[in-house]
Amino acid sequence: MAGPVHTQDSEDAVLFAPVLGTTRRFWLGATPLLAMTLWGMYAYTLQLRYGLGVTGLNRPVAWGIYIINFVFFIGISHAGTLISAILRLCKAEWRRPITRAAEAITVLVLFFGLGSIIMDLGRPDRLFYVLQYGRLQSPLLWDVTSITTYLTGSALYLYLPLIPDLALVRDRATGWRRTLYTFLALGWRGTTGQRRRLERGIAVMAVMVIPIAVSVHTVVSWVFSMTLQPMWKSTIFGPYFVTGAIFSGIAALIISMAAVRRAYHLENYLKPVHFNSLSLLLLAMSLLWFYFTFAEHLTAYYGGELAEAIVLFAKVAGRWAPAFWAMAVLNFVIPVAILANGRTRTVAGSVVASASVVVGMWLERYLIVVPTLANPRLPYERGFYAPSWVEVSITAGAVSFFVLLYMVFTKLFPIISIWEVREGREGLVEAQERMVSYLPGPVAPVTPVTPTGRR
Amino acid sequence: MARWGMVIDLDRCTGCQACVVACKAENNVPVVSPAQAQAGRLMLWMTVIPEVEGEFPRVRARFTPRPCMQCENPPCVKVCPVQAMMKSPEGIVSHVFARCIGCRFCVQACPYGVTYFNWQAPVWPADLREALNPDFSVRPTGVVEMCDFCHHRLQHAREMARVDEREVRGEGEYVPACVQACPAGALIFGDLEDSTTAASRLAHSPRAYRLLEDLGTAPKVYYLKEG
Amino acid sequence: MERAWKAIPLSVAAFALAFIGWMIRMLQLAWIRNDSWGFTVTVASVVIPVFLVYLWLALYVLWGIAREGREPGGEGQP
Repeated sequence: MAGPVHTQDSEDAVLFAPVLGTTRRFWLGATPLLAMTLWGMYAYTLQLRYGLGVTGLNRPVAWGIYIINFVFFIGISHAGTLISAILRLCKAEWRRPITRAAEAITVLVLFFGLGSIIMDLGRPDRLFYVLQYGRLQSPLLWDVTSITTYLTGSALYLYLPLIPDLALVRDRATGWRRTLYTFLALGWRGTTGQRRRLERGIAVMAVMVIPIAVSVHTVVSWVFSMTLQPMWKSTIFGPYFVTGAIFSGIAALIISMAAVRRAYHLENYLKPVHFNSLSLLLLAMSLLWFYFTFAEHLTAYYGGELAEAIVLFAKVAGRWAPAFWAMAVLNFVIPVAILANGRTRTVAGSVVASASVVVGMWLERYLIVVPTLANPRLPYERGFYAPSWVEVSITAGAVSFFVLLYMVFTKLFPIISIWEVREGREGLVEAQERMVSYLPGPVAPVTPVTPTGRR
Repeated sequence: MARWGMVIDLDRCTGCQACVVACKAENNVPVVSPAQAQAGRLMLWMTVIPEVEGEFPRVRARFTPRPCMQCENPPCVKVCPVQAMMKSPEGIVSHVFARCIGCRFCVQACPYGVTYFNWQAPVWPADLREALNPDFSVRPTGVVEMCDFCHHRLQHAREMARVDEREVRGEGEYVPACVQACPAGALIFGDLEDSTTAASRLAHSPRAYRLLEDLGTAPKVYYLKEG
Repeated sequence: MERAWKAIPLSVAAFALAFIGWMIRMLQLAWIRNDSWGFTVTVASVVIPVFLVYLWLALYVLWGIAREGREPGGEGQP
């Protein structure tokens, strides 16, 4: 971890390359994203100037794309937790090249979730009233609390395993980068004392961040289910939203992994086996999502309570039927068809399935928010919602900005955790001993196996 | 402690909407263009809902004035993150424009849809601007507003009563603008705790019902079924 | 650069303390106004321990790593 390891350097050179230098291709990719971001910011200034009237929001649909984006982005943030924390706790070796990318997604996208809800406020200048005059009976305050807790926790959980890598990059960087990494690396030298502290910190955070993440999306779902609106007042919302979040998070992770693999030539580190494992998780989440959706809609249909039945009909056979069935195809039919079959469960196949899931999960949030609001209990208030160009521009700008920030992250920090990959290489004997201990019989000493190195 | 409530006699309501106009005038409720109204941005604290059921000759038409229900268990107060929605000890649910951050959670929480949001800064045509009520605020953009039983009139009545060193009477001294304007006497307002008032008597009438009663919001606006 | 290494552990610790302070303020406001006391106590009893763990992380892990990094030689292998 520390000290000169030049022989390994040439092996892992491709992991250091993006941090130490920038190709022209990066700027070619970043420029349109920056342009779209600026366009989205311009659209937002219009909203600040003229009020929320520039959106398509109205009565009764007073919540629209911004709230949908809020739920969607917070959902994507569950990528990092599942992969990083749970796989670390399970000591799954295949997590090693994935954890950094996952944790980075989480921390970055949480800011966009927060940003979405701030954009939805009629008076963003009074934002700090929430802190000054907050009431914890309001689900929005639960949101503030849990998202702050999660953001802090996942930032720490990103930073801690980053420290040894920062030391590695510090020793190879020059100029302002060297100063930056020296500052961030906290003087890491890989001493036993430092390693002990770091490992304890990571272990504690891995355990703690899981219930925090579950609480975040549960609390987000309670913004809806604590009201009396038809088909919102559902006890299943907590687990339903958490499942959907993990589902969309894994999909986002697969897409980002495939992108960095392609852009930075990381085929040797992000192998088909990694995509295969994540694809199987995505498949499992797709089935679980289907189960929850089916249970939710069957319950609404069977009881036939009038207000709920109207919303259900509007979703399944009425105005929102195209979106509903598109969501079912995107979230269930396509992913299961691609991922259940070993022959189509390739890297490319998993990216197609993931893209389908990301779009489908956005549609799912849309179908939770809009049909209910457009069909309130008192029938004279029926309405309709079509987003305006301002909302679409801001959404496009937010997505572009997120991708841009992610790209900048890969430029500043190694997107694959170098020290963990090396730890994996060096720790093959321990890993094998551990696996032997799972089998019946006493644990016999294992003949050392040489690291397999590059294939 | 008084508990202010309203009884609306649907047998008497003619659907003339004098209450709607009076409310808009009294509370400086913003007007919007026809295009905005079509887009669902109309602002009517008090509104009259026409309902027509059935085919000729078995038609049933009903006009239902709908102010804020002023619930005893108001969902809007529960969900407000910044204490901008509050219920006074006398049961008046009102809104503090200076505190509102415009999150519109109260709009989503209310099952009756009585909360309205200022989608833009309100503008009035010149002649209406001269008719604005100086006793009540004009709201900025980005905040929510709703009927509060003309709470400013209660405060005024209380000041007047304090001069005579007594409390506001249960009925007659304090009436919201809609109640005052109704030409048919369909809106009856008063202290529901005071058994001598017409409002408290009619609230216990066998014709009395409340909207969405099974939700548990306990509204203080009672409707008298057509007899 | 001499003092700069303290910045990260101290900022994290300060943030954790600020959040705990805010939660205590929420408890105080809920008590005084007699408004949502139950909810505030429930939420506070969960998040204050979490942020105490963050505080521990800042002081034991981050501060400890930084301090050991400053010592010439240090414990164990360099």
